[in-house]
Amino acid sequence: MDDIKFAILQDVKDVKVNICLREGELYLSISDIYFRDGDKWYEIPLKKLEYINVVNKDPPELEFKIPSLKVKVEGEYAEKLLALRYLLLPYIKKYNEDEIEPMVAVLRLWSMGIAETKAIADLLKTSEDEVEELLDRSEKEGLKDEAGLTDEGKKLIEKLEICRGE
Amino acid sequence: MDGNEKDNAGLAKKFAALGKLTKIESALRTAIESSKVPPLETRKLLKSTSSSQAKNTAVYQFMCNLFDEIGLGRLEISKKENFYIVFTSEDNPVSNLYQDIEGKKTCYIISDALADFFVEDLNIPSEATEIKCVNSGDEKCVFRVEMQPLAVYRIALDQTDEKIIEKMKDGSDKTEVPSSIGIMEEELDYRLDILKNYHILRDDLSLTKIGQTYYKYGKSFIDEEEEDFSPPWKTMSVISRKIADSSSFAEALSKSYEQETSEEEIESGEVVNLANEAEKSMSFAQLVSKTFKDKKKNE
Repeated sequence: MDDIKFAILQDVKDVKVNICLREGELYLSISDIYFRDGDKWYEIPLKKLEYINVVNKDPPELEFKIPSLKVKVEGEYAEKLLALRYLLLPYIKKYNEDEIEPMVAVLRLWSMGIAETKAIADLLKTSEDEVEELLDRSEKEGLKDEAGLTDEGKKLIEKLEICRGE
Repeated sequence: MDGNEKDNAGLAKKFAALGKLTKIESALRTAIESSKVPPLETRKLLKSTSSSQAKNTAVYQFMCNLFDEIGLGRLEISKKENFYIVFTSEDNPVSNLYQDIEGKKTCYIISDALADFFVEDLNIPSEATEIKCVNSGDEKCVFRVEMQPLAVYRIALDQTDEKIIEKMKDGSDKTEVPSSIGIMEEELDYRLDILKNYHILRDDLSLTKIGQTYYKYGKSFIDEEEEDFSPPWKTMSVISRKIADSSSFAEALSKSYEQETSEEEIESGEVVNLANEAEKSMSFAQLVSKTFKDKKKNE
């Protein structure tokens, strides 16, 4: 769909591994995104996408995240890249299975009136940073607001309880 | 329809949707750049105490026309509170682009457009979220724009409001205020209602804690000289022309989607599944270093 430059980034034991910025093409299929680099194609399955962020507006730069890997894409036409992001956003699985439980655990305690991140972290035996991140994310994703849990937040908790047979 | 035909139809729909989104995005960038609203007009929207009052403001009517022209459909204010506004959209063209999606919200481009309009054109730091969507089973798409309170106070209240706050802080008699600051009694009543609505004044016209804080710190931004320029609806025809031009450009860009690389071409080349490789962490590191070496060799 566009002549692009792309970079693949991965953290391996605290070391950032990075295929340098490469000239290429981006191709969208029914279930994957492909990046072409000469004869080599890199494939990202849509169902594995965790997020797509705009990391820079000028030049336009998008970041695709799949488990333990990020792909940065720089394109000539901002509107094309941004439109691609809008097209793909609804396909992104909102939460990974292993993220739901900690998010629900934090939300449950928070909705019971335990507002301090340290208290929640102590109860869940996790770090304050992790709690803060989960609370921030749940607010951004509309699971909670200043008035408490939103309908969507309540639904997520209920869904987990049903799965567990609670 | 066999599996391949279904996939092709799905892909064609995806590209058609991508083309429409590119067109909308292009029109949106142009529209936002050309639609700065003077604070005087934004103030009228912020001072509205109900959705029906807000609907009567020029800025709201302009925004609705602009969004419709961009291709985002008609939005309607369904709730107006001091620091957030709720917009509703029935049958918007964006939600129709995601017919294969069920149980998920889809209209991110509308929430981003709302946020951009509030941030860049109304100069109010804001965040917009789609809270209901027809594609997740709701009756209508509903968007909530959260505005930063400090910015709302900065724009909503003007120097006359500041003078009223000062008079109330000094314990002046309400009846003496109009003549001392040169306004009519009706205007004073209207402004007092707004100040109560923003929790600056209590019902007995004394200053609340918010009012005291505002009096102490808010003065500085009221004293700043307010920008005054012509509202964008005065040049709506120019904006419409710019939107049409950018849409045509985007349409031309989108045509290249039709000449896409074929799947056969991909299959004939070497395909690296990044998700699988990333899971095999160390081997991917090797892959990366191999790719690096290959590249150097080729160069």
